[in-house]
Amino acid sequence: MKKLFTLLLFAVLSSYCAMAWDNRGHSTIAYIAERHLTPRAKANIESYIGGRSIVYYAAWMDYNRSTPPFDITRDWHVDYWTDAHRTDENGNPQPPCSVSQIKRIVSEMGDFRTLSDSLVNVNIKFLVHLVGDMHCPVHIDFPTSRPMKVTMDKKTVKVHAMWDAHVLNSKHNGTSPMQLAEEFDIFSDEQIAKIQLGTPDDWHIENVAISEKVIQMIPKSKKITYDNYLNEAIKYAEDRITVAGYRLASILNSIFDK
Amino acid sequence: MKKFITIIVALLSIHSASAWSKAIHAGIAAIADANLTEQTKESIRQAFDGRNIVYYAHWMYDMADTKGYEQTKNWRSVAIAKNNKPLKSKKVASHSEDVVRRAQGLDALAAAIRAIESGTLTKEQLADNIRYIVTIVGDLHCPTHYIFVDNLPQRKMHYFYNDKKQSYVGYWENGSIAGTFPWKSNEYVHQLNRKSPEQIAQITKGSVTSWVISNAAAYREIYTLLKDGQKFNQKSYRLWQNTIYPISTEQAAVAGYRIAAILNGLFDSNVANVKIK
Repeated sequence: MKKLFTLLLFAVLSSYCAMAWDNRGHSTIAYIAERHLTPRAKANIESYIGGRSIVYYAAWMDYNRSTPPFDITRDWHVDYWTDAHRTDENGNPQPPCSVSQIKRIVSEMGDFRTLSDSLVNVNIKFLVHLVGDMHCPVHIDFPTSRPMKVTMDKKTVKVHAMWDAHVLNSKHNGTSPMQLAEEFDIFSDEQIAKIQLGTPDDWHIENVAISEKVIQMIPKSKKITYDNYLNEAIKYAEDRITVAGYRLASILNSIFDK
Repeated sequence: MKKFITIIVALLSIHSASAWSKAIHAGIAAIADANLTEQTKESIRQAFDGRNIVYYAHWMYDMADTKGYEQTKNWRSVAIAKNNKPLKSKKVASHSEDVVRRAQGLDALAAAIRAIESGTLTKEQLADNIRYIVTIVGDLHCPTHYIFVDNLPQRKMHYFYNDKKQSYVGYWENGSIAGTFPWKSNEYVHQLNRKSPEQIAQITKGSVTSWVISNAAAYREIYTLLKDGQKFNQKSYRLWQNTIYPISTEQAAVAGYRIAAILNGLFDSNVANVKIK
């Protein structure tokens, strides 16, 4: 019985942790960020990632989460809904989460030239991914929404999985990330500066509110259609992706434009 | 009826498994297009009535069932001997295995280059031969388009993903890139067209035949990346794919640079021709 319980728990956790924005979502975020990097920041970053674009590594964390030594990053993709919940019911710290990792990396990269090339390389890959993840509404770990399932096109999926890919792709499947970035990146410099204001903690609080909203929007029947959910949810997905892109640029510029 | 549908699906799978996908060919052509000189671009624009090579990147496949173009079905791969050199044309033609007899890609490429060099083509013939070069050079940078005559059974290698049988050759044609990146042609350029002039010079050094020989030696290695019949779940499949996409994306870039080198040599008087041997 104990073994069965452990297996079930592992299965639940595995499916929960296995997803994020899909490659299209993460790549779009990275493209938007790239469009707003200063030339100096862009050149500095690319010198640490083999001359590649940050977009190439947008989903790298997802692709390597099961590979030692990066399996330690497995739990970094999500966040807890308040600081109080960063410990479990027994007061033990929860695994490190996206916001705490972003803050740690930003602090560590303060003088990136003193760090080893490989550490800067991997920290860039982490930031490019985690800033995207922290803006994905279902990456806020509400215990109530975690097991929630909905039906879409006669298929039952977890809310988390629906948000990671289905919401964005319900409108944009087949559109390339580069094209999506062009379509989403329409804000004025003043608007972008406003979006970039604040800290990762502030952005987290904002995302918690949006997460609650998109969960509340789910119809009681749990049957998702364009009319009762997706048309509205898509707007939130597009907004979160765009905002994440601008904020990723802001973080990367603050580190590398020097 | 069910059996009929199964056969049709199987046939379609074989057909679609015989090339880089349309998106990859377009991506390779886009990288090439980004590396053409203005003089070359203008010559190609004239031959194509204003279109570019990306538009025709997959054209050779689209035309394969059209009267007069059936022979192009034999131009997608190259037969390779044990010493990694291209098998002599006579041996290719007389080989007992159909897959080898159909591996005439290098001869077809050489013929297309020579035809353009002759300067005697009609506008339509010129356009056809440019299109052949774009597609064939792309294909000659897909590892599974190398038919190693000393190890033909490896072409039947397969794996199971979530208990579903999949062809390894088929995986390379599309999944090797599309399984990781949702790119369109402009993204191939943005992501892969990043080599320095020195690196490009190194990539495009040598003759077409020398490229095939060095590719052959490298491409043999892809058959060590899979154990025939290997079973994957979602997690192990992802890890396995992580070993493939760096190779496939690099080959797509190399193909693009080499197409540009051939076309620039043919159409820009300031650029040296790429030799066939």
